[in-house]
Amino acid sequence: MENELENTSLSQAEKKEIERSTPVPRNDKPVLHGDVKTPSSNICETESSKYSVGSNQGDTNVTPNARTAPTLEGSLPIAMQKKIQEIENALSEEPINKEALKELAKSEGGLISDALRKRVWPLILDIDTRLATCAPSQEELEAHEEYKQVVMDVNRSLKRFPPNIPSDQITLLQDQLTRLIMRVIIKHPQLRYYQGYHDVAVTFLLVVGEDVAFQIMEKLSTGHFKDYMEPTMDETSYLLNFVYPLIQRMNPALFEYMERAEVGTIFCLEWPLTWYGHSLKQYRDIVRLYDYFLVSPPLLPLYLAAAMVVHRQDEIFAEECDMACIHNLLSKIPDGLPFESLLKQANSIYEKYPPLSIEAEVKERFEEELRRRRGIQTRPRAPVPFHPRWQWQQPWNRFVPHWIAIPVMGAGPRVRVRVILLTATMVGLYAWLRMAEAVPVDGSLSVR
Amino acid sequence: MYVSEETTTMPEKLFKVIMIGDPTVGKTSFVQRYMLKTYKKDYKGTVGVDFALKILKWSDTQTVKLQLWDIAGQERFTWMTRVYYKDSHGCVIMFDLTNKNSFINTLKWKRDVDSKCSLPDGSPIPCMLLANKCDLPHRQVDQMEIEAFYKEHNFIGWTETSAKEDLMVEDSMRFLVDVMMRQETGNANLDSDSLRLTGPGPQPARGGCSC
Repeated sequence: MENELENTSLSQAEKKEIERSTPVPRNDKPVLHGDVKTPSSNICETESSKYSVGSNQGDTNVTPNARTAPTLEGSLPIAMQKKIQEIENALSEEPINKEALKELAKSEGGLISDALRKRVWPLILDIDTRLATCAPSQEELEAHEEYKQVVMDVNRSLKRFPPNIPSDQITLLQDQLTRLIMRVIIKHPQLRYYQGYHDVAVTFLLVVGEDVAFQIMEKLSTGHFKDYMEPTMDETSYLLNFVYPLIQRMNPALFEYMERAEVGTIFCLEWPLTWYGHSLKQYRDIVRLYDYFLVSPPLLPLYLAAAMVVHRQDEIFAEECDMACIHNLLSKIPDGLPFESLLKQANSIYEKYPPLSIEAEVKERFEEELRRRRGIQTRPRAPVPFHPRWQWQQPWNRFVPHWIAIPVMGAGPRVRVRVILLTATMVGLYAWLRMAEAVPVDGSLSVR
Repeated sequence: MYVSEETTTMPEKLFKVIMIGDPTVGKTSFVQRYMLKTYKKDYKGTVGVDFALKILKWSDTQTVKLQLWDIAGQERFTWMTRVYYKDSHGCVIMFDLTNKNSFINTLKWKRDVDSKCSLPDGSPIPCMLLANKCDLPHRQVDQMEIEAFYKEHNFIGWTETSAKEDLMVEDSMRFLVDVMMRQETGNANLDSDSLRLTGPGPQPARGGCSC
């Protein structure tokens, strides 16, 4: 894989047309079936859309040889050279200093180059690259129900490959990408593929090659991405709600503005699902974030989302307080965001407001969302203060039967059922005890 | 950010339209063609929902603001993205002429829309059926079949389109906007009976768009 990529970059092969099928010329125009008169006046149009973003051809990726550090070292800034040396030192320690590598992956600039990433990523994930396994047969891959969907998504992932790669190389990489995704979901049938998963896989494929990428994806899919790969998107939907309590703490006015516009959470759906690989145009930003996320808790990408939204508050306030306007603004991540400082901020809010501390609000929001989805009208939601005293519900609930579990704040109608069951149990128990008292051992009722 | 000079003095109508259908039938390419008159080979699949807005000068006295919500086709996203069906005025359900399954699934999409949203008077929102990729050979769906299907399931109309070759993209959207306009002004009877076929109609012997 490594050799293939290097060959690609060195060969400078002529740019081939990626489209393999020849477009068929046609003259006859299809007709509209249904009779509606259109106005005779001219229709002039203006547009503003996600689609009006200028072509990002060429800036999406850097060519693989530009991504390898050693050749560039001579021209690198001193700070970067120093960091490369630190990474090399940690790698040469016996045993390898993984803790130091994890710190270096987080600190400014991350792991600097793809050549270093290729060595460090498997190490910080505790992956033994010697344990590579064989891929299943092509027949086995094709027999899987998700195969078609994966192929369709991989076929339209061209933007994620370095430019100027000859089309036969791209085809090869796409085959590898399909295979590595299929290997994970075949080996772990409980994991469901989602559109966007291929954006994560392609990043690893390009850096570490197919076999190690498979090992990494397997590890992440049963860890960081597990919740997104459940049979339904309920858990994903729930997790997206973490963004709002964080925004509320960082900027209450912005939170209020976004709530009033009913922006919702779908604008940031692809960020955690693809670790921003689907959304960012600059390859170097994507791999930098991956350095950080690999050594962070699974929810950190959502904390970054909150930091990013707050960072763009002026743009948001400049928009109309309207869902469509704000969704449109936020779903496009502009170039040149200060990711280093945003990552630091995400990390500091993670420490300040860890998931457990805002979980109750997230649950409340999610329940409300569920009610709205079901079309049940509810009264407007008042901001719910955080109740630290409810934290002990969780451990308690783990050790008792579900029907006497203490309801979580803000839970839905099932809570009422539980409370009734609990009360009934208590009354029953009391009655039984009283009965035992009233009926002596010989079975005769004492008559007064 | 959306408003162009000529629109500021005119009355404006806002229409929200959702674009749905199976993955890779061409929803995003269609929107891109309609918005920008371009077609990209290296487009990305949609994760979640993309948004686009187009302002049409409908007549000398009327401006139309058209919101297009391009919704991810993968089934597992629909539970989340259904939120966007709310308050929509119109709907485009698209399938790929070279993929029979995507045609069969349009019924599922139609039922989904009808169960989730309706017009203030309780009637279903106008849904247009688009048969995309008509520039490609090896079709799997017959015109007669689509014709019968669209009538039976209460679509306002259907046409073949090609986002790639820019065929019927503009015209079909104008058709939909016109239906929504007529509905809004109340001078339209939206029974499917009021919509008749124009032109030659389906000609099985010579497909309107066959290659």
